[in-house]
Amino acid sequence: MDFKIIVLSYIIWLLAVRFLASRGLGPFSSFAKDFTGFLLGKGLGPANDLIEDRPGTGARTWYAHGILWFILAATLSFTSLWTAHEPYALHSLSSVGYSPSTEQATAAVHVAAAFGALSMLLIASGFASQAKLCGGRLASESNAALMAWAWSGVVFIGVIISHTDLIGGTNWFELPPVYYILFTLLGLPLFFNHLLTMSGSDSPVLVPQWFFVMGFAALIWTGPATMALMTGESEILSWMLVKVLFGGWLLSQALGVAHHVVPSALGVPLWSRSLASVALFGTFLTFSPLGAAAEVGAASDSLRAIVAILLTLSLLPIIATVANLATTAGGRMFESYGVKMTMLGVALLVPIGVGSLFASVSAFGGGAEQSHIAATLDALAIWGVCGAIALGGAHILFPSTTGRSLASVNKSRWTFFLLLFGVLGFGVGQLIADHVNAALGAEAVVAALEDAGVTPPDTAVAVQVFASIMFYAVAIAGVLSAQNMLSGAFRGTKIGDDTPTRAAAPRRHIVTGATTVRDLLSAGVGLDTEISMEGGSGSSGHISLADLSTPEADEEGEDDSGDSEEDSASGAVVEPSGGFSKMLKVELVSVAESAGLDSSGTKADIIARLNAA
Amino acid sequence: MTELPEMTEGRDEPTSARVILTISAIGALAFMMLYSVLYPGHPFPGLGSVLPLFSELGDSVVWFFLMGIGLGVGMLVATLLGETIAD
Repeated sequence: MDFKIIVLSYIIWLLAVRFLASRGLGPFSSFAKDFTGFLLGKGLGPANDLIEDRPGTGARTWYAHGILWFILAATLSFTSLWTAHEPYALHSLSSVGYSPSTEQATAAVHVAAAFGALSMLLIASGFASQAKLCGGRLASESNAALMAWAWSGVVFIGVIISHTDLIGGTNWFELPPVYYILFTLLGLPLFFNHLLTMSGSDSPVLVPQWFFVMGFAALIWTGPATMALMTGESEILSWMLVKVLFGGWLLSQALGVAHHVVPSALGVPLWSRSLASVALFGTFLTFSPLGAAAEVGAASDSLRAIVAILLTLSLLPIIATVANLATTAGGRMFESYGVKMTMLGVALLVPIGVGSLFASVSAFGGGAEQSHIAATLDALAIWGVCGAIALGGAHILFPSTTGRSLASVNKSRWTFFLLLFGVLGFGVGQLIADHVNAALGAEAVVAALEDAGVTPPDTAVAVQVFASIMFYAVAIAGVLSAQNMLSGAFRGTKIGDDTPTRAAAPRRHIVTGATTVRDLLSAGVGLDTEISMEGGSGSSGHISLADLSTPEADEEGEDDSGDSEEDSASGAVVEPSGGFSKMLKVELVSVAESAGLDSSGTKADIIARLNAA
Repeated sequence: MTELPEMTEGRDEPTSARVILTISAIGALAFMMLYSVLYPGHPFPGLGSVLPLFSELGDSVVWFFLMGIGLGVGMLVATLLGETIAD
């Protein structure tokens, strides 16, 4: 198929989705919304009644499936890496019928990782983000949850097919083309669920929401496109599919999650709207450098030049994202392990993106000089970039779907460090091994060594062992995350319990002698509390704070002069019965200011100053 | 004269202790990887060599790693069952 038609169909489809999603269908909008809502709610018939349509159900189901696929996919990747240097390590499993070839194992890893683990975790975070941005729930939670089961089933079938002779020789899309249209069919209700949720909200559509919607549009495009492969093997179409899978689907969902969770978790606004827009449009209108293993044997010079330019331009959204999110997070990224994981993935985008750019440019009609590191770069893009953002998003957004926090901060810490050292150790080790193997495998080197009667050293094998062991940490990070999420869903602190709530103000408060507003506020007095003045004050009666008027200047002067000594003498702050920690921050600020203390910083800072006073 | 106790054990856990633990673990792992250098000719014992029950799995070290993942998944299942029954 002609390259121009492929690219044009993709661009026109994305622009049409963007236009219709932002402008609506005019007079048909109302009908379309009602009809889509009916299909999502009742289209599956009795199946829809199997799952409760409660807020968070959809995202929670996707998370549960996604994290299990993460463990399975990481385990399959680990065994693939291991058998690369010890081919017969799993030979004993052949007795139960498991003896995949290298190609079959690779295809299984691709399906389980890209469509199972990362797609499901990122879809889950997308739904959780969408629900938070649109009033707390999806248009149809039960439909979203049902689709998770269906998606998981399709991935399972894909992993089984990967171990048969049905796999082909293309990169990443090794399974029969008809298989991938199933993801398009399953993506349609998810896509409409996003759109319907957005249409039901009055708030403006934000950049992360556009990432989710446009990402689904890209995924839906891949189904019919793979069907075109059935008309004949097309290298260019295969190459384009890999780029859309990585850039249009996985990276866009990951960037959508990152653009939401970093500002949301830290409570700061996104630094730059224009950089976010560049990231959004650049991601879809350029060719992602990720997916470096895809190759095109021959292409005209003009086509190579166009592709090289579009590949290079893809660095724009990557750099815009990294700069925007890094500035947004600033030093506060260390406050949350979820944000740290997300920022790890974002930061890795630059080195992996640049490396993949060189490999991709040379792989499109060139000599594919970097093909020996392409598979490693793809693995790093999968686990280092998308995997880290997927786990980071899960750590931040999963609690909002269950209403409970994660079980253990310690497990989150270990997950982060295992992911960090696992990805970096694997990347460094495997890239070294790739280069050594490529150097020793070169024809001239092999001939020279044979002539000299020298056996090549097995240094690369030792480094490959190191890389495999380091990658094992990624699998364990998945296990720890799953344990953290599972235990948290049952026994985590209920969200809201850990934040101080304003206790009901007492109806009446008795004051003996002189007092200050600060003491009254510290005692939990509200604006409508009736204050009973008894003895020592020179007057008695009932008064409420709301009734207090601004004292006259002369009275104020008298009070100041009379109380100045007492104030300076009684500078100590009286801690209320419930402790300072039970007070709201605004109350603490008020108390600190009335005590003449610095009221800046976090609650802990203010409490420390008040305690010291 | 004040008598000090024989020994005391602090309750605080300094951050540097974790760093030392991590470095120790990585160091031990690194030396294990150098096993073939330190003891040439002696293959690293596999799971089947240590536990006869698993002798059919062969002598590959990969089974130690897979057993770790298996234990982790087993703990997940146990947690799920336990919490479901508890509820």
